[in-house]
Amino acid sequence: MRLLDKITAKKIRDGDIQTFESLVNKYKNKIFNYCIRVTNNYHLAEELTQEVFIKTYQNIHSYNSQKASLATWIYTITHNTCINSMRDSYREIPSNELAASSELNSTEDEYFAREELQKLIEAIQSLTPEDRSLVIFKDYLGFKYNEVSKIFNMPVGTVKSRLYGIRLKIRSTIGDFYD
Amino acid sequence: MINDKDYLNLIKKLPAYEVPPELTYNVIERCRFDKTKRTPLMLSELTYKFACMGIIAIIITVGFLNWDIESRNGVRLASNTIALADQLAYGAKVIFTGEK
Repeated sequence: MRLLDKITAKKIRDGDIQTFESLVNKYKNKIFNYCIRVTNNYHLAEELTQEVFIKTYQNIHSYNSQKASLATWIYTITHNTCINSMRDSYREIPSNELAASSELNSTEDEYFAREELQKLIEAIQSLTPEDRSLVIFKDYLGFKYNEVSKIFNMPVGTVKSRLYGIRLKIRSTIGDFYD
Repeated sequence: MINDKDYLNLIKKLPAYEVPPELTYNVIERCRFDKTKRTPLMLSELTYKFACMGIIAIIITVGFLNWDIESRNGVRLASNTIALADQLAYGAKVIFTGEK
């Protein structure tokens, strides 16, 4: 797998745009959805996704296949880009910008499901950008603990304990909805 | 409070968004532009490397020639470049023949 990553990186370094295009197509959905969930802003997520890929292209020479897989390296860039963007200028994002699912019809069950998701989005938005990023990678995008630990550059144990605390916080925030 | 399992099921239900089609196009075009910007730099780096290799090759060749001229005719060409080449030739002579 790493050998394939090494070959891909070399091709991109040598200016093979087609290989880079297939790389963009492979990762764009996850990166875009990650950016949306971290920023809660569609247009900002679009900008950040583009920035991630431009950075990937410009810094591909610094990728070391012995340290991490290409996917982990790209997600690390994604995480850093989003966190820096949130730090640089704290953006006040309206929590209702991305409604949970506005296309649902208004039967009682669907209304309930939409409200439930809206409450979850609000709970996630109430977290710090770093905690939000952690929960999105692990719980929303379904990354494994060791992948998350590499992206965040922290031990697996720390990831687990931090996630435990974050989940507890989210669950108690949306808990009122169930009470 | 909602339990852990329900929470994990709920977060998976968050709607996924489609990437705008123009996003890929914009990224690729920007990278293509970046590539064309980098090409002259890469060429000039290559030219520079070749030029350095050429100069080294000339010095070594002149050095060997000088060594040859000196050993046959006893003629010594006095110039800084030739003196440097002479040193190189002397080094090469020591390495290859073991004579001092």
